[in-house]
Amino acid sequence: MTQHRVRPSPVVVTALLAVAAWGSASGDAVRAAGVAACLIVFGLATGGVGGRMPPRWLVNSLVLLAILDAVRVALERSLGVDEFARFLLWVLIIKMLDRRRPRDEAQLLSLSVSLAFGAALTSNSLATGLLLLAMLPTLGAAVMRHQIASAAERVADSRRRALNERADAPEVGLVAGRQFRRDLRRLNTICVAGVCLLSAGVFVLMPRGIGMDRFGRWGNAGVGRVTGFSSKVDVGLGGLISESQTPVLDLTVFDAHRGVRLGGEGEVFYLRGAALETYTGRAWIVGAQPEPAAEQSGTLPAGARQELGAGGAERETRLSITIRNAPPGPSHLFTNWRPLTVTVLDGGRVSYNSHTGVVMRDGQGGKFRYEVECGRPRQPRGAFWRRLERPAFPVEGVRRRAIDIVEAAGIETDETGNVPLNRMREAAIAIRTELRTRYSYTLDSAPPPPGADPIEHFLSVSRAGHCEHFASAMAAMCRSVGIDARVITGYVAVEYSAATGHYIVRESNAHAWVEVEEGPGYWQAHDPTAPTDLRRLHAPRPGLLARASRFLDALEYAWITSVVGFDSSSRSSLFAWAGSGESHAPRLYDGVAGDFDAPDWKWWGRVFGNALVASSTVLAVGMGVSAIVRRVRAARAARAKARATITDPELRARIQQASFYADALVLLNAAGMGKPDHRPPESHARILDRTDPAIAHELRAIASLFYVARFGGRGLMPAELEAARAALSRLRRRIASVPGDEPGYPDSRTITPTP
Amino acid sequence: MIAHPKHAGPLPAVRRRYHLHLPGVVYAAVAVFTAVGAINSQNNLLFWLFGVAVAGLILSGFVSGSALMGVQVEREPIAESAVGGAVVIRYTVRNRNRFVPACALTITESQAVRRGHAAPTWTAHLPQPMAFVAHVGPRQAVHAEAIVSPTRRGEATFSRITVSSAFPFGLTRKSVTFEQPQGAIVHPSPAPIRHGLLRTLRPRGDGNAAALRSAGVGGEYYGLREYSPGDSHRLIAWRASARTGQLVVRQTSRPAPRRLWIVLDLAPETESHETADPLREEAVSLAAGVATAAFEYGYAVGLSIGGRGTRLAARSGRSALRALLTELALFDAPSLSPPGGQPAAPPPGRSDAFVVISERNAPGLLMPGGAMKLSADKPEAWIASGAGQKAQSPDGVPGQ
Repeated sequence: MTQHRVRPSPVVVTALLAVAAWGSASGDAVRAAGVAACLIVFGLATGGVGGRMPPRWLVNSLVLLAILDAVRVALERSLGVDEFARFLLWVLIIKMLDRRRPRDEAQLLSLSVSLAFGAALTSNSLATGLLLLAMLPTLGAAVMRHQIASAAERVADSRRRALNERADAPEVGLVAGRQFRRDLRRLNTICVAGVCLLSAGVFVLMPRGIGMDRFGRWGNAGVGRVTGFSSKVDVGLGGLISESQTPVLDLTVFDAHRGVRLGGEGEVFYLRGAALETYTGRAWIVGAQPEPAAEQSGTLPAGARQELGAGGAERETRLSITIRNAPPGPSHLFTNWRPLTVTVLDGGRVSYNSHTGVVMRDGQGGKFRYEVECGRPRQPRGAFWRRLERPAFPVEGVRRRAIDIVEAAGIETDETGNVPLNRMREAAIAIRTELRTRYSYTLDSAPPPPGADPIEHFLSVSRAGHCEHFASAMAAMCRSVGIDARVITGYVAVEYSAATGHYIVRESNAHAWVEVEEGPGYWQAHDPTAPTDLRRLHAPRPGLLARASRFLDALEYAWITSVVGFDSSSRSSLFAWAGSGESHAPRLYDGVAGDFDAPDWKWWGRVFGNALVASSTVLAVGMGVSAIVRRVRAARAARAKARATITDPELRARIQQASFYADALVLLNAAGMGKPDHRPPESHARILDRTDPAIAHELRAIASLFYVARFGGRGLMPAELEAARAALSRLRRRIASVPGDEPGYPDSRTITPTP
Repeated sequence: MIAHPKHAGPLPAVRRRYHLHLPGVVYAAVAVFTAVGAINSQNNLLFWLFGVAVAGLILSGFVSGSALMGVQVEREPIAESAVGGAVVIRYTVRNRNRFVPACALTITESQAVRRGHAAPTWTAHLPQPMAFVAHVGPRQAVHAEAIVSPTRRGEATFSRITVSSAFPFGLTRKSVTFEQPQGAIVHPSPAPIRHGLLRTLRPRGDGNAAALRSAGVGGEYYGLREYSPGDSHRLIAWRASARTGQLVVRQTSRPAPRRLWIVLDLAPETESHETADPLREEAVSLAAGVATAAFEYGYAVGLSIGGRGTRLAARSGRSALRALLTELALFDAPSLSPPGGQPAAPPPGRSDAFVVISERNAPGLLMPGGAMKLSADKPEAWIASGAGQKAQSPDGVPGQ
């Protein structure tokens, strides 16, 4: 009996799912795959409780080594979530080698759960969430089996002690049968459904926006691992531009006045991030700001809105942006030119430079959601009044090329090479057109020779480059002819999802373009990259895989908006929907934060009324269904009883004589092989033939003798009775010896199976 | 004698409790920490994990509670056992719940004292019995067994049965207690006496005297009695019937077994009942061993316990052996009737044999002629060779 020990195999599955969740969250797929392979191999090798395992001292030594390594890492650098997760992975692998007792399995489960927490702290991506969700049933099954196994072990220990460690002490363990498995599965399903429902309730009801960063900055996980954005354009570097399809941010564009969604297939939105005004000879950088007084900053609580100054612009669009994984510390927020207001939904410190129009945030890493209202600046009337105040672009070759271009466009330059104030826009357009038409786009650009200016090299020698080369060249040429210009880096939103009504912006959508000051404070965007190239590069990829990828992205977006981005306003909307009116429930939570407002009892009454109606409906439907089911069952039972009612006393005596048949059915039922009422025994034996021919054979023998008594018109002879009893005995032995893959216990025997 | 009450219906649960144990506390701490992390970071996945933690706590209580609400446990009558042997305590566990199975049930005997009632005494005689049920399906019943080895003779009384389970998640332990007073007798462990020890016994008086006879199945004529329905017609004594005018039947005799009296000569008790005097227990064990061996030799064995007035008539058969062992188990139990309360046994006959067993070898002891004297402090005189300590087998019968 001892060979059928409890072996909660869901432990291995749970550990694998935890590792997969961590791999998905951290993006370290290779390491996760390696760990998963180790877990599978070790899990198979150790074969659960009672399997072949290395000596305990070896396992303990390995665990000690892992702990020492974790301490070393903690002393050398801080022990963050990532490092701790790696430590957990090591211990998980080691402990997979040591599954002697239920307690060891419990340790594996604890490690898996800890790893799952690590995954949740690392990323909030859809894959991570789904894997954590998938862990629930396996974790539930593993924990339930562990509870049974550990209770059995406790009783076995107690029994050994109570019998003074006698060698012949009976052990705990026996095959439990299919009903045990079925009941456990059913219970687990109910528990998982209950956990999902209750956790959704807690998720919705938990207050948001209260106590953020009260215990320091930690725990805000992003969605994904990359930002794909750089605030520096190094044109002196060659190499490939990233074509990564990893989503970086999600953008929804609204009409600022009407609130309707904007955008669609073919419509492009430029999201400006950094404004680069200083050229170092190789790269464009942000550089020193000429107007420090223009800086405006402040810490905004979640949901707060900050005016950034109108600057003569009128609100046109409202961009709702979710950066999936913003880097910790200062980082750029993406806007349109020009930003008028910003509303941070996750809270944090926001700064704005009115000269460059750049909005920055400072805070912990992870997802960051905000809304920004933007407007187009009005074009000043009359002539431009001022010339470029910063020094002209220092590279002579670039200057000569710019003068050639503007003069070829019919714009005369003065003795210093500057274009007239009233023809600056025309000059900028001429330069842009020249770049678009005479230069070719390539993702793989060669670096310039040492000592050569990269922009001059691009304009004169290579004549091919990517968006950064084009933007750099246009800004440089504009400055060479007296027009102030700056390089802007950010993203182009081109991939519109009609299903969700939003743009998915990927790492490969990073772009650079130029802003030219065409009037006082009137900066006009010019994209020197040819529109055809731009469209070709950023257009959504065709093909089935790309479509599937876009579908997953749409799912991820739904996940982000409904789960990751769920906040107090979402809850407010939900309550308003549930209450069919304006929600006051969030105010209750606001009250927790110190701004308690009396709830509107009318609203609560409406909610209560709706809940009452809904629950009454569900109850009524349930009772109706239950009544129908009961009636059908009663009718079926009555029919069975009528069939079973036998008035002939002789026949009744014969059937009573053949009670071995009823005993056999009880045995089969207890073993989970019960015969349904409607199925004849021969048919049932045929079905059992597939799984256990021996049992089927005995059932056939018993049934044939029962048939003799029931329909043969005579009682059974003593020899036949003896044969029936022998068959019943063999059946009992056979059922008892069926090796189950499930745990079982000798102390519990079914004695009254449910009819 | 202890009664084994039979319950007409299911036993009512007298107490239901939730126990928060260490895993539950750790779990709650982790849940609180998760909530703090979620609030601090506004990480929605952590909010959800906190929801999962709370849901697990609620469901654990609900499932274990509803499963145990339908569980009923009944202790079956406990058979007599011997010290050092094994006693099996069987429980019938019923799950009256229609939907929820009960899993991982641990059944223990409670030491709690019911108000106004005597404390259960099983703790003095047995280790904690613990039975386990892996699974009881809805509307099913199973048997569970606890096997323990008794440590002291006497009467073990039971009062409350506690069923507990931490299923499904091990966060809270729910227990239900049932009241079922019951008792069990723990016989003394029969000492392994030397093979052939009883062969040296000499009956008193005339050893060749005619064996006592009694009516039974045998070949020798014993007497006549009145016919009663069911008697075989072949047994009817027709001549005697004709003589007396009513039907009489012949009775044959069977030879009565030889009788052996065990006289347990114990010193007056000076210690409390809580601690057993080893020599005294050894003497009782020796008496049990002699009695067991004598029954196997075919003796009718009687018992007399000196200083207590306890005397059991010399009888043979398994029931007589059980009665004798029970007497040995309970003769000094405080709950028994005072000395002299036993029904008077017939006095020893002239041909009866005697074994006098005492704690210590006292030379001045007045003994019947031909009696064998054994003392607990001189085991070399009676102990079986190779049995340095008492041989113990699961059924309490020593190896001979």
